[in-house]
Amino acid sequence: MTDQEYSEQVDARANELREAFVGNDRCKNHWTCPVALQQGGDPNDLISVVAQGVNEHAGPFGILPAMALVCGFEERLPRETLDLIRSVFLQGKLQRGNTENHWLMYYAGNLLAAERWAGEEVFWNGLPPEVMRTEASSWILGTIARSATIGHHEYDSAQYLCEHFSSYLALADHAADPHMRNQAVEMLNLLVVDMALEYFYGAWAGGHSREGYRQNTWTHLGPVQGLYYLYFGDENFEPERHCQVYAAPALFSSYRPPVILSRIALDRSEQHVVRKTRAPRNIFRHVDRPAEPVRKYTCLSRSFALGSTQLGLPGPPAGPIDLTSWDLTWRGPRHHAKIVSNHPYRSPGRFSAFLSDLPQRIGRSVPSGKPYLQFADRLYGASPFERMMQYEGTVIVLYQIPEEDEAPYVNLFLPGSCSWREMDGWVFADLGDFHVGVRPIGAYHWTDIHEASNVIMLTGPGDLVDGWMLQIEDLNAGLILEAVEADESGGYENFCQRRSEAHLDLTGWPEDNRVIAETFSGSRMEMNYEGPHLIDGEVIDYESYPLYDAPGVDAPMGTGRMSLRKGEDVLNLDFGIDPEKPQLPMRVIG
Amino acid sequence: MEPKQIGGNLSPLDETWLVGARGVHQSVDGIRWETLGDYAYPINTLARRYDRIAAGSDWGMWEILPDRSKWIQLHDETLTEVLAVAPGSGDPGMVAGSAYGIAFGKRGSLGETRWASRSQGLSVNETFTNALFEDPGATGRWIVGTEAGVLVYREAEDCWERSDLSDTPCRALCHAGDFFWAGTDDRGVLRSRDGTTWESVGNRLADVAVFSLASSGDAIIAGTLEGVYVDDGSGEWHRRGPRMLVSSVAVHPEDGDWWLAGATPGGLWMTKNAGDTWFQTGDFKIVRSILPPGRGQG
Repeated sequence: MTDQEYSEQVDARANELREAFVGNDRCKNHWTCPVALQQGGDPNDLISVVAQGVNEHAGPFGILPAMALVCGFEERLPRETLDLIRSVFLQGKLQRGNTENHWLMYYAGNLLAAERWAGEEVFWNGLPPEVMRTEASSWILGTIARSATIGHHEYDSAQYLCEHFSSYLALADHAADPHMRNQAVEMLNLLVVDMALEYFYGAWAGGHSREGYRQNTWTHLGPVQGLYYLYFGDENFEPERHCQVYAAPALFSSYRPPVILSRIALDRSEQHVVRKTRAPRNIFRHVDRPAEPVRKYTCLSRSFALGSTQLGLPGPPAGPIDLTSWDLTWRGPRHHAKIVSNHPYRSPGRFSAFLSDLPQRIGRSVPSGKPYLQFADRLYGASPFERMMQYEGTVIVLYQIPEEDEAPYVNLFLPGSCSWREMDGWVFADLGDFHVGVRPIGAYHWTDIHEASNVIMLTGPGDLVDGWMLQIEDLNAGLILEAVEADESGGYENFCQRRSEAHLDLTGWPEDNRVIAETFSGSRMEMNYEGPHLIDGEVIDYESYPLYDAPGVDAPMGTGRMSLRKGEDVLNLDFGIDPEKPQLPMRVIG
Repeated sequence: MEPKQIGGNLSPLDETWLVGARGVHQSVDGIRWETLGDYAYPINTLARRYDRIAAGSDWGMWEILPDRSKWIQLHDETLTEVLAVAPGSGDPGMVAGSAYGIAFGKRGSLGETRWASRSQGLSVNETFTNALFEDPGATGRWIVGTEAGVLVYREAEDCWERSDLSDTPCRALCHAGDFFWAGTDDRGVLRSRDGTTWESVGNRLADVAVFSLASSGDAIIAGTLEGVYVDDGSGEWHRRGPRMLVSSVAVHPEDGDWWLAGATPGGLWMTKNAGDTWFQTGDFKIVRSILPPGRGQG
């Protein structure tokens, strides 16, 4: 397939999505109303829609779509709407927010506004528009340079990638500065690289900086589903899943990814490993040292994907609140195709380690708005006491929870629809195309978990979380999980037998901080909790991880240059990084 | 475009109490409050320089001029989470302390302020700045309260000196009498003649985090996790008023018995008899900063 043919396919899916948006009244939102315009809608319908979402106190979620609308559709905008948006950028009291996606939307929208109203004497912030243009350019270009050299900060978020993506779409399509447009296109390509490398049948495999609250047992989640359908298109069209508000800007953008990225995303012919380096988490107090880079390892097999993360956290109380560090995913409905574990670390210090509110107050102020962050059954959010190592389809996850911790246990989620078998301490399931075995370390109690959104009483299945939960009630809890393709296992019975008989040495746990496990295929994994991780006696050198590593991918750290090859197709990205230029300091949450 | 006036009936900024909450609010009598502009930013800290106000917020820093309703942006893309502001030299004449350290600003030709961090090389906790002010006896010598205690920064040499108060977060600083005073999370209130060697004052506050300090005559007034405490000079601390997290406290410069205390949460409280009786005033839930009337240094 040529780039041209691929673009035509994307165009067709974009049209399908637009029709579904318009047909179901999904355009009554300031992010999506341009879709209605594009489909021939009445511009006057925009007046109230925009007024609801954009006002003088607008934050990033109002600022970006307002300028995407002006830049793309100014000639068709009602005077009232254009006047409103102009007034917001000249008279408003706009808000910058505190996350990377907030700042990107804020600066992208303000850059476009400063260019559009460059002739005005004073911008909304009391300074000439040129000041905002310079400031916004500096931050955006600096952030792109960081992402291209040390890895994306708010990385691989099914939830927030679209806010990043929409910002770069607006810049690629409308920024006056050709260099900004070029860098935005390169960054869009890079974000599609991120999606494509870990794409698994509409799911984003492996670890994520932020994966939404109480959604990490879902197979498909987040606005990224809209981009997946548009750019990869290997799923049946489901308007409810694929018509995503924050992905809508892709439907009125001229950007089209290179076809090679779609080919990389959709090729599951061979099991392969993807390694990524991501920027360190932003931890600004309560710890002795800065966080280290994040290293991800994701094994994409034909019928399952297993991913894990070396988080690089500097110790308690650092524990980013919506991070997911590992999971096993496969094809199936929500709650029925994920296995994940979590230590539900609850110290209030995990909030104040990255938020500037008073530590003495924050344990009440943050959970007041988001009580699920402190739920005892929580399945997401980093724990400073979790460590892991992975080799292909096998992962070892270990915990050393201090005695005084509020949550002296680990939650292990298992889907309710599998028929589980217990054998010699292992819990097995036959998933048809593949088999999985889980070996909890520590005494566990088999129970269930059901959570729903906005309910007073829950009498049926939970729409947020629903399944089995093994609560491992041990300060030194852990688990070993291995997944093997059915056609490589010699049958389910053989898998269970051999897996349970394979060498497992727990004599060094926890006293010597060491667990040794043999994989189904005979490799020896040795994990030292705070020490080296070894495969067949060889230490894994996490520091040598490149920015990206996958078949056909060459992307060293720190260069801003990378090459992707798939068959005859080649994509070279070059961000033109000046290695002598100091890096933009990271001042936001990610 | 000419910015609107703040409002015809508002008093000059240097004659009023100023409160940083959701936006900045001013009052002559502490009872009737008016908002400076219609800004809803969560304000963490306020500072005066002559008749100008600097307001540090979670999202940046703003300059409020006496004759304008529009606030002027003081931050750039490197300055945010501003928790402390103090008057300094030059233009804009403010030094900023934030979760990312202290920074000095310089105004450019278009009115923009560019900031340079001076906290490189410090540890994570030393970088996180809760409070700062300039040594009144030595221009360019800065006393800095951080998550790792008190540090001293000398601007001319661009060098840091660690004090012996280094094992607890310091969230409050002031200068009164011949002493610097520091409020900490778990060592109570300490004092120092030079900012580098500290001694405890009394012992009843050792288990109560201190967020704000002010002085009235010989008395030191502390806003703490358990309300307002007062040291009358004897080393004994006495609680005055309701128990709440008092994050800011201030004393009227011409009436030493007239205090305001801001709580997080709990709103704004006032006493006119040195803490014997208090009443809630204004429509606030969270008050992080209070500036008493006065022209401020420059």
